Amino acid sequence: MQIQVRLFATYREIVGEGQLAWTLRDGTTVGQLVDAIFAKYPRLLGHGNSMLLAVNQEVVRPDAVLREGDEVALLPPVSGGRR
Amino acid sequence: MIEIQRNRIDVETVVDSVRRPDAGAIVVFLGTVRADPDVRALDYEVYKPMALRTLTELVKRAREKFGILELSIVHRAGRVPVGGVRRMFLGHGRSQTDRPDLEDRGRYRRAAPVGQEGTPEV
Repeated sequence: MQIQVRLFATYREIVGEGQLAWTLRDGTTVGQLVDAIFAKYPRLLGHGNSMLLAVNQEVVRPDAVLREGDEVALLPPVSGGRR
Repeated sequence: MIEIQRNRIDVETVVDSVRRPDAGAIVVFLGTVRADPDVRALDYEVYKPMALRTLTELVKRAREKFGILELSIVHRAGRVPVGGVRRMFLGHGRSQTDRPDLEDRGRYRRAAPVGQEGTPEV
């Protein structure tokens, strides 16, 4: 199956693109997709712990199973003011 | 009115969007870019469909919880210089006892996928 991956801010800068088409086996979870993305773009690894994951604009846990045509977004943590 | 825009926020337009004859007050919150050390601007990058969806849900919840008659939220995207308005919340209370905390910062930041990065002084 084919899905789309959207990348923002630091992640987009590391990967060099804001959107990737990704082909996966049926039954792949979001966490497995992220591992595959880390394997291809190892510089993302240092950001893994703080990454927020969304599928079709809903925040999901890494064990969510992906389906054909899903749009997965990798969102950096939202930073705030210091005070 | 729920919008994310690159252009400067026209405060009067947003105020007009919540005016109604049966309300006795308009509460306005303007978030601005603060001159923290080494910061001269903030760059906002937005996953727009998700941000609009999340803000719409926030408005719905705020209406239910605080009895607000009309509520508008407008957020900037792109680069906003120090002193610039980055976010605007507006709401109407039904009476003087309705004092919604419209800038529920923690909840907003967790909920809305609008990221900001400091732009260092050159």
